[in-house]
Amino acid sequence: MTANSNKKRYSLRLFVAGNAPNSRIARKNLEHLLAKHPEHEFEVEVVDLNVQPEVALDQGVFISPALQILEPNSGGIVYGNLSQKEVLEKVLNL
Amino acid sequence: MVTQTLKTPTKIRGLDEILNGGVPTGGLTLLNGGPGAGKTLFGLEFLMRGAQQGIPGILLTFEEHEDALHHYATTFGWDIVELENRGFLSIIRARFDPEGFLSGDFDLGGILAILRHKIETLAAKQVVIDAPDVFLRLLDNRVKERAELYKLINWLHDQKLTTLMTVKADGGDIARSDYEPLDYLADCIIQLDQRVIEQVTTRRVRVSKYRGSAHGRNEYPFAMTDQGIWIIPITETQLSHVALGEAFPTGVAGLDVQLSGGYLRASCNLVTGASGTGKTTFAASFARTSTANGKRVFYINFEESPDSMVSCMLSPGIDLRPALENGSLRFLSVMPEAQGIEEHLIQAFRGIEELKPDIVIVDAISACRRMGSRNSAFDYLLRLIDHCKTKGITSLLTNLTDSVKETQEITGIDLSSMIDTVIILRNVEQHGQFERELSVLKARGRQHSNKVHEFQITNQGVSLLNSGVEAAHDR
Repeated sequence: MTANSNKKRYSLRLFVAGNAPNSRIARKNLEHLLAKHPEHEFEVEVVDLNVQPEVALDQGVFISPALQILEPNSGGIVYGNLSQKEVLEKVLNL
Repeated sequence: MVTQTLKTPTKIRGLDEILNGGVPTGGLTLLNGGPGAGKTLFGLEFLMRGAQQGIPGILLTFEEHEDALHHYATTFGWDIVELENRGFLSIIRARFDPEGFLSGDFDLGGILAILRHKIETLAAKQVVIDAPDVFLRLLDNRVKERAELYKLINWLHDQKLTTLMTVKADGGDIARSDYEPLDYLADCIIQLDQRVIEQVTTRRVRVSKYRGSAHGRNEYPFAMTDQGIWIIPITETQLSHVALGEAFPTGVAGLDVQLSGGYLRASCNLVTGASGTGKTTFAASFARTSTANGKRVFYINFEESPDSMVSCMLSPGIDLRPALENGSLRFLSVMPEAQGIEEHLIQAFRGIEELKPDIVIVDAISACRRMGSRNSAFDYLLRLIDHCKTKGITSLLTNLTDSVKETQEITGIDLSSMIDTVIILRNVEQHGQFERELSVLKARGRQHSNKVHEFQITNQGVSLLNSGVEAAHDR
């Protein structure tokens, strides 16, 4: 994958439940992914369900952790701690 | 440790009697049963009844049927939306995007966060968790499924919430399912069962476990009525029956003398005979005379519609119209095969509750076999007669026998111990014509005639001819 030529912009929302193990792992995994692709622009919002449960209710997100892809391909969602990186990369078309 | 089990009444009709007061307060109750057994409905009604009394509750469902819940509620006349708006009830449908991708492990953390939020918002005291297995199965790992289930139950326990949890189990047996440990964790287990016996669906409820409490151990029939679940009261011991009381005139001229005054209050009386012997005319005579004496009569008719019955009875001079008009006579006309025995019983009980009759007539009990099986008919009649005897209501049953052998087979449904008086009607061919004969086979606790009496049905009603058969021969 070559840099610069096709720079993409992503808007993501990560739902976590405080410091629950899977939520911690999900944060780490997402950080790694972002670090691996500096050629793209990522905008990430982290929603802690313990703090903002109404956002999850509103969005109908009940499984945590979960990553909502707002841009591009709006509406897509990836459930789990994101440890299967190839799934995430495929969904994000990285 | 808790020394005494605190209970929360469910207010589901009949359930608290079986549970000796209600479900364990702050404890876990499992609602276990196959698909369509009514688990979710039990949960919904529990919360709804609580909400109506100002106890806030939450239903968390993992099934795809939030709309179905509202539909149920509308059918039963429950205004869920209003209770939701007032903050006494909240329904959370935990759904998953079927197009979503899976990448690694996940857990209940998010659901618990949302549940906690709702519980705090409503100050909820009771919770129903509907079909958690749907969520757990997504984990696709037995060990993790159990770990998450424990986490959920422990969390609920720590919140001191009175919890009902529905669990699907094959064959109604948790022990054989994936969630066997639930059996040990639960404080109370309610088993629901729906089965088809001879093409008629019946529903049963049973309490298989109640930690620290006595409970009814039988299976009880229940039904979904237009007001919610109704569990049929327990068959009580005969000790609770009201003692037989004063005599009610039978409306058949000459019969009262033979029965020392008539049918006794709180007694069960059977008029049996072949087709065309006049059973319904006896029943109608009793109904007319009783209503004329200011009594109320509830007439359960499995044979014909009220209109047809009323017009048929005009020819023997029995006019039931005034009683119908002033409300002292009420009919329940229904085809036996139209519904299961639960629905039949509930219709009858509801009619009794509304009218508060002195007399219940069932015409004819032989038709009850069409409710499914001989056993269903027995169940229905036993519970109905028992209910009447407990309430001090006099009952009159008619029974169609198909042959001359009627004396050997009084009811065909083995209710003899419940029946106090048996009157047999016969058509006998004599002197080239049919004559009507009556004999009293049994009249518990009273003097009665042992003779065979001739009787006639004229446009003035039914009357016994003055004397017994011997005298009639002399005529």
